Amino acid sequence: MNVIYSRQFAFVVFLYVLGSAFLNVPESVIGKDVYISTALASLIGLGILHITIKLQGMYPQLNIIQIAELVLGKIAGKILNLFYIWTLFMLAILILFDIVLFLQLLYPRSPDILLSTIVLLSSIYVVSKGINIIGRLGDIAILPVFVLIILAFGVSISLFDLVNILPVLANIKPILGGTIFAAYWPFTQIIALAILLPFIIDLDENKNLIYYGYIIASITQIIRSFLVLGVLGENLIKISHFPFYDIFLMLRFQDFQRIELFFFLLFVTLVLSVLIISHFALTLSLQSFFKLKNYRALVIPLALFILIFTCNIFPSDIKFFAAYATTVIFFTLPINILYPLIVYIAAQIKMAKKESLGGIRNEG
Amino acid sequence: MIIIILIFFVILSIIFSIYPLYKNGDTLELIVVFVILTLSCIYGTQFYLDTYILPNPNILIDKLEFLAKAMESYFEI
Repeated sequence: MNVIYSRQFAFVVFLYVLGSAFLNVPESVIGKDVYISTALASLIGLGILHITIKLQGMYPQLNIIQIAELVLGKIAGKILNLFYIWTLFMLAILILFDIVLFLQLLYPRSPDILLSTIVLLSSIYVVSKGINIIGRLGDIAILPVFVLIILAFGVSISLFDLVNILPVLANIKPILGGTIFAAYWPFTQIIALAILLPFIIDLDENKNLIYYGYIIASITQIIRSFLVLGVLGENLIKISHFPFYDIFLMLRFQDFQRIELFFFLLFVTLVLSVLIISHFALTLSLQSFFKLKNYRALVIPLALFILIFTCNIFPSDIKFFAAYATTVIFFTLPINILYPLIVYIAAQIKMAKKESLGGIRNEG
Repeated sequence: MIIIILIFFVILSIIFSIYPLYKNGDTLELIVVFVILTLSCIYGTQFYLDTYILPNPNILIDKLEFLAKAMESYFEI
C-alpha cells in the first residue's frame, strides 16, 4: 500500500527541515543575532505548512498540483504548477550541491561528479521503492538522529562563549535580511512536502503530529544557530560554509581526534533524507503535471537531469558563495510563499462560491 | 568522467525505464523520459566540451545578481 501515517510524516518533516540546513547555516551571513533570524523564519515556514495542510483538508484525494489545476483552471493552474516544479528542481540541485560540497570535505580527492552519482544512486533506490520506504526511513532514522543531535549539542556547549552572543538586537536590518535567507533555506522549502500529503491516511485525526515535527525541528535549528554563534563568533560564522561542522573540527577530548567523524552518520542521514524527499517530490510533481500513470519510469532520468544541471548551474563553490547563494533566493522564495497562498485563496473563493450557489438552490 | 556517468545513467534508464515503458506501450511516459534524457545528454556534453549550444540556465541567475547586491546592501549583510 502506498500510504504513510501522520507520525511517519512528522518524522519526515523533522528530518527534512533539519537536514536541509543543519551543517550550513544560510542565515549565518549576518553574523550576530543569527538565531533570532532562524526563529523568525521558522514562523514563515509554519505558516506555509499550515496553509498546505488546510488546503489538503479541503481536497483530501488530490495533490497540490491537481488542486491548483482544479481551483485556478487548466491554463492558469498549469502555469503556476510550472513554477512549483521549478522550485522543486532548484531545491533538488541546491541540496545535491550542498551534499557534495560537504562530502568533499571528507573525501577531498574524489571528483564531485562521482560523489553526486553515488548519492543519487541511493536516492534512486529509495524513491523507486515508494512513499512506504520513505516513511520507514523516518521511523528508523528518527531515534539515532535525535540521540546524535543531543550529543552534538552537548559536546558543543563546552566551547560556548557568551561574549560571542552579545550584544543582542544591536541592528535590526541584518536580522530581517537573515530571516529572508533562513526562510528560503530551509523553512519555506517545506512546500516540497505538500505533494506528499495525499499519501497520509490519518491526516485529519493526527495532523497535529506534523506541526509538532516541524516545531521540534525549528527549535533544534534555533539552538543550532545559537550554539554556532556562541562557539564560532560573529566573524568566523560569516566566512564558514559549514559552521556547525566547524565546531566539531575544534573539539578535542584528550587523545581523541577527528570527533566530527563520530557524527558522520548524523550528517549523512540528514542530508540524504532531504535529497531523497526532494527527488521524490520532483518525480511526483512531474508525474502529476503530465498526468502519467506511473512515476517510477521518471526516477532514473530525473536523477541524471538533477546531476547534470547541478554541474551546469553551480560549477564551483567559489562562484556559488560569492554570487549565487543570495541570487537563488529570488528564484525560490517568492514561489515557495506565493504558490500555496494563491492556490489556497483560489480554493477558498471556489468553496465560498459553491456554498453560496448551494444556498440559493436550497432557497429556490 | 561526466561522459562515462552519462552513458551509465542512459543504460540504467534504458533497462529500468524505457524498456518497461516500451513493452507496456506507454507513449506519453516514453516521450517525457526521452525529453528528460535528451536534455540531460545535451547539457552534459555541453558541460564536458565547455561550449554552449543551448543556453546555460545560470544566465538567469547572473541577470538577477543586481537584486542580490541591492538586497545585501539594504540589509547591511
